[in-house]
Amino acid sequence: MALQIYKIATVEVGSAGASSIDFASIPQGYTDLKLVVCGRSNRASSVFDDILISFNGSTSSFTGRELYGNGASAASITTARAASIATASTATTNAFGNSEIYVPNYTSANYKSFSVDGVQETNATTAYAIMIAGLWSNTAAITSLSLSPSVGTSFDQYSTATLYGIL
Amino acid sequence: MAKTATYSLIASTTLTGTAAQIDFNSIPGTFTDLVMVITGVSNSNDNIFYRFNGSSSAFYSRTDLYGTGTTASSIRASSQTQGRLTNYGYPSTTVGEQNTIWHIMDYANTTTYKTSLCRSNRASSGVDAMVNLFSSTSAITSISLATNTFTGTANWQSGTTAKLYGIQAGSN
Amino acid sequence: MSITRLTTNGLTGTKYDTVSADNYYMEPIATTLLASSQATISFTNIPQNYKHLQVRAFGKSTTTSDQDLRWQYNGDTSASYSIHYLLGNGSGAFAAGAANNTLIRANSTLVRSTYTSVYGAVVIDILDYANPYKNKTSRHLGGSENNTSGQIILDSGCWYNTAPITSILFYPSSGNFDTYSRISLYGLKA
Repeated sequence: MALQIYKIATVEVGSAGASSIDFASIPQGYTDLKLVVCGRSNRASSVFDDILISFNGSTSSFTGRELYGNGASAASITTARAASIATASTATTNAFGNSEIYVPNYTSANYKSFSVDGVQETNATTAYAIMIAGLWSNTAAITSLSLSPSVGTSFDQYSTATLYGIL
Repeated sequence: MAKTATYSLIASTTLTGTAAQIDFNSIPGTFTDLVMVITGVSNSNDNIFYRFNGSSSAFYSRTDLYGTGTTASSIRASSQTQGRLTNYGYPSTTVGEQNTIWHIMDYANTTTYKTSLCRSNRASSGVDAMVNLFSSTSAITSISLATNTFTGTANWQSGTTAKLYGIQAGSN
Repeated sequence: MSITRLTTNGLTGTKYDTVSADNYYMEPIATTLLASSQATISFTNIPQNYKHLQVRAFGKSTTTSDQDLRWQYNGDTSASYSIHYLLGNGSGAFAAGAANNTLIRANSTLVRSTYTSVYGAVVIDILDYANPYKNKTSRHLGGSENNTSGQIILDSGCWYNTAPITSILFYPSSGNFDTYSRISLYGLKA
């Protein structure tokens, strides 16, 4: 049987901005989730902001390792809930980030690993590219997820996130 | 006329016991690219190795970009008798901790060698981005996966999953 | 399959799409597979009814050096782009960036003619390509490996223009695309 990628929902942030982007009542009939994010944060005095993820309203039991480049050098750090990257207030106007978060087996009764590739752009030498190995050490099926800026207080208008289910 | 799915599940496996290797055989040649998603569980905390078409010839090479949480660097290997998809993003003994997303491009092409791209992740040890080459023009008709090499003693454990998808390109 | 409930968290003007019965959300738009070498590969009149684009490329250069896969949108050859990369070459990890560029690129994706039968590969994701309020940021994971050397790269680029993308022109940094190079364009539906 041939199966497809299914779009679950798309969120586009309106003129008032949004402190978070939420997907609730995620259908449980798929195998994997793919979330693509094209976001901009109101974080002041920075070209970028990390985007944090939570599952089922939980912000605990997240770990990760990140490899990143900043337009000049590469480095690696440990992370917790970082799962994406957004452009922020001092980046070129109308520039947004571009990230993909892949969560295999999101309904399983096992821990939930996830893979992140993300970039943000600005018309300057310094801009960030990230790869993250993430883990939510929780055996609950993922029924909801939420994204929020790490330092900024809101996503800017026209930030989008699209959630796909893969069978 | 019925639509043709662009992104199709060809086969999947979820282990309920141990296995020395996982095989995908008789892969149809009707797609353009393959994508495999693996969540590996190994009894030896070891890497994911692969072979195409059962070949143990020294046809496999790779370049890996990795981050360990403290170090960012890169490493290569040439003329190997098996391919490898992980370096620091390798499977652990705990179900659900590791994943690999692997794109095998133009797998059915009989005039080119086979280049593939993969991302492997394990939050407790590291992240890999890897480019692999299989120096054979044969179309890929089977893929085998092992942990701790194809001649080692480690096995895949219960809870390991592997899903193989085909991506269909449009017409020329 | 349909959604039974969505929360809004009070977002003003936030739009939620409903799920339709048609779930073929990734569709091929066009593919070019070269039967002979060629200088450029272009996609024109790109439909505007998708949400995102994905490009999957498998390529080789006619020159004796590895080449970048380069591209421009809507015929714009001006200095309207920026590019950045995070790269591993078997020896170390590196990053760099450039502003005010005349192109976007996937670094070292087209393998030199010296290595017969070896091709590079890249997957390019362009999100919100038709959005009239956003500059267009692309993310590319690609590389090449020839059993002597290799590079694996996470690149990015941005086109500083809010116009929807209606065409993409691909070309090598030098020489031509070699025979059997392929570029496939897909749309992910809104």
